[in-house]
Amino acid sequence: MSVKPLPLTVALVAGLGLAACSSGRPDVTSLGVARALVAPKSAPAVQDPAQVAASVSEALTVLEGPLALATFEKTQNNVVLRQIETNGAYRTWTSWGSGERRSITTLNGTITATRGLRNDLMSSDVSQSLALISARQSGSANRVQRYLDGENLIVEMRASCTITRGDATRVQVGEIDRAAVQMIERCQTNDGENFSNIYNVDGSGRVLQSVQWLNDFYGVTVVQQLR
Amino acid sequence: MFRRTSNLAAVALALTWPAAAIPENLVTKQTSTYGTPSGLIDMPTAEMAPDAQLSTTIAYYDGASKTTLTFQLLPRLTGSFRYSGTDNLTPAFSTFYDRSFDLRFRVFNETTYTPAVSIGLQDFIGTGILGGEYIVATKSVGDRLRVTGGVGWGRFGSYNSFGSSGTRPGFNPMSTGGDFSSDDWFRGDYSFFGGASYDITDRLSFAAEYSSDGYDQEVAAGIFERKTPWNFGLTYKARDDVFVSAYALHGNEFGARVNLTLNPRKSAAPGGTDLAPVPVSVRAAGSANDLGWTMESQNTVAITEAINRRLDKEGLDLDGVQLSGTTAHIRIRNTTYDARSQALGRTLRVLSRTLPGSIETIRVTLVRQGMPASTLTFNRTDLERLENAPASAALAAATFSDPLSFSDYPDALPGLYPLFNWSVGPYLRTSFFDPDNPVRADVGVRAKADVDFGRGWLASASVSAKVVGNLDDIRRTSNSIIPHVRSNVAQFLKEEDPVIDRLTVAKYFRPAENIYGRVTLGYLENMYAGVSGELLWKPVDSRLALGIEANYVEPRDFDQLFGLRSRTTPGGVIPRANGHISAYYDLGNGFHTQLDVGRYLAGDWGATIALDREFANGWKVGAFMTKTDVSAAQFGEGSFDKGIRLTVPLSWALGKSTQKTTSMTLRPLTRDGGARLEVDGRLYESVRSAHQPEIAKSWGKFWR
Repeated sequence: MSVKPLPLTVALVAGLGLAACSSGRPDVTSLGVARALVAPKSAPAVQDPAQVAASVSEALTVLEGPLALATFEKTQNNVVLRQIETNGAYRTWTSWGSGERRSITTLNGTITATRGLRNDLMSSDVSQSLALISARQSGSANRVQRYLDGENLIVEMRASCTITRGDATRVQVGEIDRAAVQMIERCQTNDGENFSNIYNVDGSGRVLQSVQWLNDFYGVTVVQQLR
Repeated sequence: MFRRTSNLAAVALALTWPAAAIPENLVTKQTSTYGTPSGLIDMPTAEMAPDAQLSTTIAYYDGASKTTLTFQLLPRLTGSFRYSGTDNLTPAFSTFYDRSFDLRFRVFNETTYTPAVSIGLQDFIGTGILGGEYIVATKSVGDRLRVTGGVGWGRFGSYNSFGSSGTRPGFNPMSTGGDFSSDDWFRGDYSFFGGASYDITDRLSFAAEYSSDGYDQEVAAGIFERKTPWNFGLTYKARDDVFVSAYALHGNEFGARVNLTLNPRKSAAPGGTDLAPVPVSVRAAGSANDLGWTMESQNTVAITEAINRRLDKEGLDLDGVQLSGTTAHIRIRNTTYDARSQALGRTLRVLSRTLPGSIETIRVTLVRQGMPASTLTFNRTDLERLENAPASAALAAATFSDPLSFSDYPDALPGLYPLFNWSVGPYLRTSFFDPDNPVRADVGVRAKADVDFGRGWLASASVSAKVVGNLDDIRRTSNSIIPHVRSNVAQFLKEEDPVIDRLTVAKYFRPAENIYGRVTLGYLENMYAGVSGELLWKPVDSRLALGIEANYVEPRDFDQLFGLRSRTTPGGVIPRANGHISAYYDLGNGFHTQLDVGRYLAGDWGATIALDREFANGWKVGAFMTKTDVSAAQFGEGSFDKGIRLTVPLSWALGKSTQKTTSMTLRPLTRDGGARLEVDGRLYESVRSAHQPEIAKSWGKFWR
């Protein structure tokens, strides 16, 4: 259920006496808020698959180092990700070709954190799941995902998951062309919600593709390694 | 395998999952004509609103309106403030306006077989025109039907009573009102009332009730005809947070009601839409031993420049840097992030990318109003180690201290001060509850400028000019019999020419560890000029603070320019000296209280107590009351000063970090008793926002 405080916002702006212009760094101003209120809510620009393929091959030509493609299913966003930092086994990626700094962090190709995507996933404990997945073994695991809520508090989602080894498959994306096994993770949260994740894992235990449930807003998110 | 692509930024409204999953017991967002949680029409139920829900209900039938603000103070306690107007109720007023407060407490929660039971006080501080008390039970039957039955006193015991418990002094339209009318509570006749609500669809619900309200005053005044005890209503849920109702009252009147509701704990963009922070840069193995950079002083200059540039990109201002071989101490000014944890987290990550590898201990001091307010010490190894751990681990690794306890506190960057800031923007000023016109407003333009000279010296000015409005229509002249310190506001509002709101020079200082000081001199506020001094004791990890404030003031001319006016008013001479000692305490669980004891503007002695519910995202909802040695008769209408207040962080509404908030204080009446000077830059809020207990509340944003 969404809360839409826009009419309230208008009232606030009026009541607040937000500056229309000021010195110093850009901050929220009454003009900026007014502009955002009257701006047409444009539908997301839709790129066709050929366009996505073109930007992937361009990225592979232009950029060195790890690259990936992220797809946010619910919002229909495709983003070419480029690795900008590592911390131990964690990798942080940001979108290539966009001036806006929004990032995701992965552990062996699976998302453990997001920044700047709203309702951000702040951190995850996925070591049990990842141990089974990279060993391509069935078993059960606990998973914790922590989100930032509307009150700026961390809300923990704890889930019990069953991981099963599925069919052999072949992954062909970007520069990757490898045999893999599909690992399926079925989870139930403490609140009784169900979700499932799918991972395509190669013989070395590397997750080449992950199809992960992030939250209700983003729904399923796909991350594919391109190199 | 590829999908359609679009810009990552093109995101719609977020869903609020996951939210804290506290099971809520028999709650509704619907409200009655009295604006309290209820699926019925005029009658109360045992229902509660969801915790922290805030609703505004406007109910109207021919000649009578009620506007109610209701807040779910606790999961089991509801509070309401109401402004009602009834035409031709008494000969003395063409419309009888009245303010009232309600409380409802859930005594027993609903179980599978037993109903929820609540007890309520309606209009329990006031003239008592709407006064009534009740004990009520509500039981849900399936998902759609709720059945209510109860016993009521006062208004709710005024029809078909089946018993009586003592005598009830009752409604007196000419009393000063505003005092606790505890002599009335649960006294007099009592009657049965009841009803049921049924959700026909997910959006439409139906209610029927047997009302025990005899509408005695309205019937006696000849403005209401009560044909039956039965009321019927339909409520339509236009959106998840907007309800529209139509109802039939006692076979005679049709009424309508709108209920707008929101919840401070749920925002349109949970966690905000700020861009991502830079990630932590982990040092290469062995780099911690390389002290070569300390050999050349130019290196320090280059490092400072790099920090400055990168902090600026994060919206933060570098104020000073002190580097040694293994320790860095950085001063910052944060004017961007309302969650101070976010400012600190971003600063530390920037420092991980800019400081030489040998530096292991990082100290970040938050500077407020030129004063060092707190220092966070963080080990760089912990920063590297905990980036992907739960936020609580980073909080455990963080140490907050008083900046005065460090010998390496950095000097301000050379040439940084003075800093000049200005802004121009619109303003809105409102006046509520004048019986001649309950809502009045002025709109105008306000220009502000301030100069920060460094070392705590601050000059600031605010000038405003009204463009349009009707505040100058206020015709009420003060009938106060004590010095007119606030009740002559109409004379200030008549001014059509630009006015000086404030023109002050202030010095902020740190006389000792845990102690903060302020002296402000000049035109302090629209009505008073003078000097104001304050000292605050607040250890960096303490939930308790103590303060003392002394003011010496002269009343300003009504034109609000440079002149002063005589202290003599029709109610007496305004004394020059006023001041308070204050205690502030964070009660925990989101509650905060403040007690001020001292001498008020009119020379009256007394105390103010305030209680606020505060949310980690900056929302505050609270109430305050002041009792002084001014008697109820001297005070006049309202008997003593009291009100409710609301602070809304703009970051909550917009999703973007900003320290701007909007605040509203609703006083049933503004009189001269218990009035305080308004000085800009009082110490407590700005000091505590930099201290550990407050920063820990929104620590979830440390890694955001």
